[in-house]
Amino acid sequence: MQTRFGVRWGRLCWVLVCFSVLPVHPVAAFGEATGVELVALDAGEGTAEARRVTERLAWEVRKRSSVEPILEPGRARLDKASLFRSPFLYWRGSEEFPPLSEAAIEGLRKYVHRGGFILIDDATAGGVGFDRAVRRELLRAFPATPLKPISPKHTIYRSFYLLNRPLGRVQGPAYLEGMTYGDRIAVVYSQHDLGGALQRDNLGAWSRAVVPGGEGQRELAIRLGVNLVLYALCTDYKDDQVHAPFIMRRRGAQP
Amino acid sequence: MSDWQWQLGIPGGSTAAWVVGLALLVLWLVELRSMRGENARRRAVLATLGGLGVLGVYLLAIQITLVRETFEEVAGGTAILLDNSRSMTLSGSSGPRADSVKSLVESWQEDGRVNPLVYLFGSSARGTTWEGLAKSYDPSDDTTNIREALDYALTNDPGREIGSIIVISDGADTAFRAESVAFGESAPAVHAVVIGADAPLDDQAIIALRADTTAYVGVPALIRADVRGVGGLRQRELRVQLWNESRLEQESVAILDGQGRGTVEFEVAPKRIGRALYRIVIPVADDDEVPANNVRAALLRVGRERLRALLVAGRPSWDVRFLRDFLKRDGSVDLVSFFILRGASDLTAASTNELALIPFPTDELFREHLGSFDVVIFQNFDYAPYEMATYLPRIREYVQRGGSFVMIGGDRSFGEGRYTGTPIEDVLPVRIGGAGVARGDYRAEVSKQLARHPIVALGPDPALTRQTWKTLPVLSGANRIAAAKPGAQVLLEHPRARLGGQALPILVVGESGRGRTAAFMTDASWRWRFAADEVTVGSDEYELFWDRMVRWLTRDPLLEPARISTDRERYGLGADIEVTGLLRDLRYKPLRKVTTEVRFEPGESEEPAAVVKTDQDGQLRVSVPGPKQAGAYEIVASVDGEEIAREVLIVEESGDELADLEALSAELGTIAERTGGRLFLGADGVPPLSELASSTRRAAGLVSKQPLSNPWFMFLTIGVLGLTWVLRRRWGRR
Repeated sequence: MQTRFGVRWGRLCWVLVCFSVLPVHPVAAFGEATGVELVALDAGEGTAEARRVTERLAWEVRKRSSVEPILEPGRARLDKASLFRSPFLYWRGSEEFPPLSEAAIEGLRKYVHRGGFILIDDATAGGVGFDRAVRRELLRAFPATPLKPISPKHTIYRSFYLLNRPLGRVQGPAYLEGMTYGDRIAVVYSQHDLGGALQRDNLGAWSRAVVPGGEGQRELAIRLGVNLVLYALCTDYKDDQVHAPFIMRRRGAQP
Repeated sequence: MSDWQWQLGIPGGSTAAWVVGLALLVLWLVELRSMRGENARRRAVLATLGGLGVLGVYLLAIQITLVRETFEEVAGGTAILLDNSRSMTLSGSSGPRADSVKSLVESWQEDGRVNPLVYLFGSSARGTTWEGLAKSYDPSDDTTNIREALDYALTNDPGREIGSIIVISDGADTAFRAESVAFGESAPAVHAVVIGADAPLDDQAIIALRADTTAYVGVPALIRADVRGVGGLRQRELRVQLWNESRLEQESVAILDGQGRGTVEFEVAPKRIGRALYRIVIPVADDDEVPANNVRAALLRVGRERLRALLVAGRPSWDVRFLRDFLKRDGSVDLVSFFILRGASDLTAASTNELALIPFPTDELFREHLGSFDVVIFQNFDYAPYEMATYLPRIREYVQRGGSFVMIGGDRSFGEGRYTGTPIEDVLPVRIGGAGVARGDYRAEVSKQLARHPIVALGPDPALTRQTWKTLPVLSGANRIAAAKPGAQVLLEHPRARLGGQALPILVVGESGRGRTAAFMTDASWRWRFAADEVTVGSDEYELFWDRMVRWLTRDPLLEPARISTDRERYGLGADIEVTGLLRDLRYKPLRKVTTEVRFEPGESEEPAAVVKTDQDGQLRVSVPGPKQAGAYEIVASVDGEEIAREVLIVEESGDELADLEALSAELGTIAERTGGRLFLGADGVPPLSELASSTRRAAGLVSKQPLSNPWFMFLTIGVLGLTWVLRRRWGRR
């Protein structure tokens, strides 16, 4: 009972915190069309789960940073014009899927070419089906720019938080993979089930346990999610000369 | 005899000759036939005499005529090309070159047999009169172009009536090459009188100055001076100095080659934006006969190597992301960006050391380095939370002293950002008023009167520009403002939202002091860059729009409504300056047929140097006499007393014309040799003009004669025919 009471108070505090970080300005942007929307890819089964992840990620970003994302982000299909509602696309999957249509592949290419950013999240965290299908389709769309491990020195690891490595619901590999397009990383592929660490149930409790690091690892996973959104919005801003001395000092100060 | 041609005098020509010939031949054959039975001797005699008689009659009938065209030689056909450049004013050991020319002309004019055509030449050639030439000759042209003068004389003689050309020059045209002149088969003889070739000057000179016209603050720029010593000063040490304003900054000794030529390099690093005037000086030696060519000036326009832009954003957004990406990709822009990533109310759940965030360096950006930026962009940025109120007056001063500033819309801009009544409102081209937002999607429309403005001119003409704007992806939402300020230009408007009965402005530009500002009341221009296929993807238009915005704000000369230029950057004293330009009003409409005053600054008088009308397209073209004092000048074009364009130029005592003034005879000698002319070094020993003048061959008519139309041939023919008749009668024939 004590525990349940404690949990309830915890949930209440969390809700209050959320309200406390609501923007002081009456509007975040002039309209839905110009706001920061973390759109979930409509990939059939699992889309609802992906939308819950983007909602949680939007909340975390709003709570922690000055970015004010739309809190109820929508979804988009690769073969529809709705794909271009936002330059941020979250693609979550857990199973192998059949080859995408030519229209979807073309949509993928145009999306990236025009400035879009795609975060691909393998919910199986190490399974082979989704991983194989994603790599296959990316290779179809971008044969000249395969996925490559992202260096731990990349801006993604310091776009907001200073991070040493990627973590999600699972520890997973010590790197993210990315596809570089021009001078930016346009596609980031995580095999850490990042969304799994962010999910909460309808009452606000964490839906899934995070292993092996527990809540500390969950916090780092959330920070990675925030960093990825900030990277999509700011790209290599943190490489600008004005930031370099500060970041170097803090990196040096870290154990 | 080969000139003779024969003709037939018989009426009917060759046809009649054939008819008559055949008729006589038949008559002779009939006569032969009638002589059958005669003995062979009588028959042979009668046939021969009859044939000769018929031939004689035939030759008399057809009237053979020999014709020849005759010509006569007439005096004249001579052109004199007289060098009118300033190098002809120089003095050698035999006196001023111009005096030698005058003496020569006077001596030639005493011989009145030849009246030549006379052309003066400098940078171009023009005709003048032979009468009074010795008195009127006053060389003043700023360059020498021998080739153009020869071409002019040759092309102005299509009838080939000129038989000889006499070039009187010092040959001081180092660019001239004999092989560059094309002579036809019937080229006139070119004689050359090289004035001064017999009396070389003692001179040290800067013959050419090469420097980048554009330099950058703090970046070394090179100024190269080609120098030369001639005559008695060829072997003398040649010191060269670099002066900046009134300070001697550097000195060097030139290493001269066998021709007395050398090059000296000076490295300079301008410290300030604007114009930097450097003077290259050779200290004048006592025996230097032409001190005027010992000083030359180099004018460097000093700018920044790249535009420096400061982008400050109130928080990350897609609008911020796409604008920053564009500015970062632009190689001509050095971007410093600062985004507010975390506000006071944000809960990062991390210690400072775990964050990659730095304090907003307000003092560093807006006190120490503000003046180093060419453009400052506030993108959805509210100043109040960052204690920036004390910096806003500095931004106003920065703009009014020539900086540029853009405010881009959003929920933290304009009234939403509480800029009403601040120094920022003072410089913006709009009155901000209270907070307010026009919601909903719309396509911005170009103001009808300003479709030519470079920021919004996405098409080649106003109609296509308006069409392009109608096809761009929609914008969403706009900041409401109180009004556009008087004199500001509303470039884009909301198609539906109204402001005081007029369309709500979306983009307004204007000037404040010496700076330019823009108010862009939307945060959705990124939509032009990122859109689906259903609308015209505006990525090119997005980049064009922002590229033009930055360049217009920072006064890129190519985007100015009016601009003028001169045919050269440096001139000699009083030289003619060709000024051309395109004049448009502030709405970028050509100023057609408007009276324009052209004057120099600093000016030598109150009167303008020229008053001229632009043409139908707003083009300006005028030649004005340059200032008579050496120095750096600006030439200014004004319409209705209002300055609309200016350009920088240098006037120097020496200039190119007096730079390399050694009399050069080699190329003119080659021309004379090729055309059968003669070369004279100096004016002494030049023969009278009549000796050099040509005679012209002219057609004098036709001469004809008929060698057989004479009484002797006629009597011979009659005699033969009579003898034939007598013998026929004697031998019993009728």
